[in-house]
Amino acid sequence: MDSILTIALSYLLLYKYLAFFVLIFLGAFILPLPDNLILLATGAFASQGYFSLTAVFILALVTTMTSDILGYFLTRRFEMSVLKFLRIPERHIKTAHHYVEDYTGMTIFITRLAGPFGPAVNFISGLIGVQWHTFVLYDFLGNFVDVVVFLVAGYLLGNYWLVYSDQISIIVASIGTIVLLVFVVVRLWKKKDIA
Amino acid sequence: MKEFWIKHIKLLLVLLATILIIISIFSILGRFFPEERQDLAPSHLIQVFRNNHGSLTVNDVGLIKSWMTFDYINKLFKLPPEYLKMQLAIADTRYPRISIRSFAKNNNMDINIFLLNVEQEVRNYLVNEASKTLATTSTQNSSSSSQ
Repeated sequence: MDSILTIALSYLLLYKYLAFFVLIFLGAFILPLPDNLILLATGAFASQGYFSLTAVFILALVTTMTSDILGYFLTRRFEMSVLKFLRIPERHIKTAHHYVEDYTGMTIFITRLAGPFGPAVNFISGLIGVQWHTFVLYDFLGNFVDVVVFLVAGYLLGNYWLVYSDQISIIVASIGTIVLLVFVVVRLWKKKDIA
Repeated sequence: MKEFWIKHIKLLLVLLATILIIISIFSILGRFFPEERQDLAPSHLIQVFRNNHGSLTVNDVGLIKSWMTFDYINKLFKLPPEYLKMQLAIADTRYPRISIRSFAKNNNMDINIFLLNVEQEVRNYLVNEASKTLATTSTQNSSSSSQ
């Protein structure tokens, strides 16, 4: 298992809700943390009585949304200087930029569920001036589905969540890749039509 | 604001419809699963859920990982709080709020060997408990049959 994840899990067991808040916040804001696996693990811990499922659900939703909205407002206020300061890879920005411009709602929604582009999409959304209510709506929907799916999956898998964690990671990565491919194909198709 | 909802309502409806279709397919198919695919039927899934949340046995000792804290292992396997401390001669004041990895690192132990020791102690406890339960049950059975 990833060493980042093992460290995160130890902190989760030691500091419970505080660690959960910090990990989810940083993962949604900028750091490439395995947020979905942390949610899956927390769901399993909740089924063992180590966390309250309701509290974790509310905390996860509030934390991810706060983190995303913070990213959005930072670039809306300070523009490119924020991206330079955070040293977000330029290729992530370029990739996200095209999709956010063309498919705003769907891009925000999908990047909440899978892939490493979530933070980049938040910053780009602020930078290109996506309407705040559009951003908040799709951010809420995406985070809601993501949090429910992974917490409930962890809760149902219970003691054996670790046995299935690899398969779940593969499924999520596959969904992300398929969606990305569909986006690319649609984009190429449209370009061809225009030409 | 009205324009906003009109603009986005189609996409929202598509998302909602997709979720509803997935849920419906699962619930409808669940009633007509052939016998050989009953592992996907809701009734089987309920059984799997029950199994996933039952008490852990000796066969589950392999679930213990180095990132787990002693406190978590105690709760997971329903061990007495001081059992591992006594058996593994742990003097660290942070016990049980310390992970296996941290404890082994702090005491210059090999993490994998220490993990095996923890597993062995948990296994011993569970085997002892199971044999105690078995002995109690057989005593009760023999006393009731003699009456």
